[in-house]
Amino acid sequence: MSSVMSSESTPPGARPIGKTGPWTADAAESCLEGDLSDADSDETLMARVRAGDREAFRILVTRHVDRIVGLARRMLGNAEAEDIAQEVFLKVWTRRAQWRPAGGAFRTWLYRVALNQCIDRTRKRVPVPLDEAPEVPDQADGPLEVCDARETAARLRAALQMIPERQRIAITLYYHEDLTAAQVATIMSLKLNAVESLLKRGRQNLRALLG
Amino acid sequence: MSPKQFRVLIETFGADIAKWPPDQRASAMELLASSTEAQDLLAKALDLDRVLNAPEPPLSADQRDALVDKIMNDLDESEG
Repeated sequence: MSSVMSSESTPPGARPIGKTGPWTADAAESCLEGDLSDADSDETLMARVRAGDREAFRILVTRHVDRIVGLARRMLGNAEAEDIAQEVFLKVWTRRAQWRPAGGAFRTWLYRVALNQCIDRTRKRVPVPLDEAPEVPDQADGPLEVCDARETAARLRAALQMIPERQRIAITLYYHEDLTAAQVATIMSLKLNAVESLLKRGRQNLRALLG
Repeated sequence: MSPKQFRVLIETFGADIAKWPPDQRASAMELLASSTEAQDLLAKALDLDRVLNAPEPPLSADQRDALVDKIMNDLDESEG
């Protein structure tokens, strides 16, 4: 099986996440007819997207774009998140024929595409010397709760940039996306005990950075 | 379950016991009911969990609409 990322788009050293193969022939043909609805499942919409239905794709994008922007913010910081989301959904469209319902939920596939895009982007970055890297901001003293929530997210984002990539992925999927360790293992194509180790080390590192 | 085992689980899976391995949850809850050490560990873990669970601010409706439009335009360009 080939990875989600094509070999030509994966720089040397990058470790693509997940695997995919050709879409199996048991696609629900019945999904391809009838009116579209916001209530349609991801998988129903994706069956139509696979047949080239742009309106179905627009519903999927609208449904998941916040999630992917949020994931990209956690993985790479705020500045590039919307660009990443654009790239991710373009990739979903161009590789729609690779999606197979028998391979798991659409959301799992989407996470894999998104994380591989984030990894690609990270590999292309020019390394910032350690003494120029942004520090994790101190906790704000301000009483405003709205600012507080944004500042908490910003502090966490900065701290996440300072831990190893695989810990960052595992922690983001487990806490921000509220997945189980088993689901994280599926998305990262790792054994459960490997994910548990990443979660433990990631949590220890973040406690030290955020404490 | 001993407090030491409880600590290992909380350091791995966080403070939300519902996300712990199913076969550990009942004994964790039993320990929690009787051990102040476990209760302290949980309280500290909850503080960190609150930060780790912090949501990213959602896009505004305008931002979302603009981004969705950009993405849909990308399809035309990619196939143009």
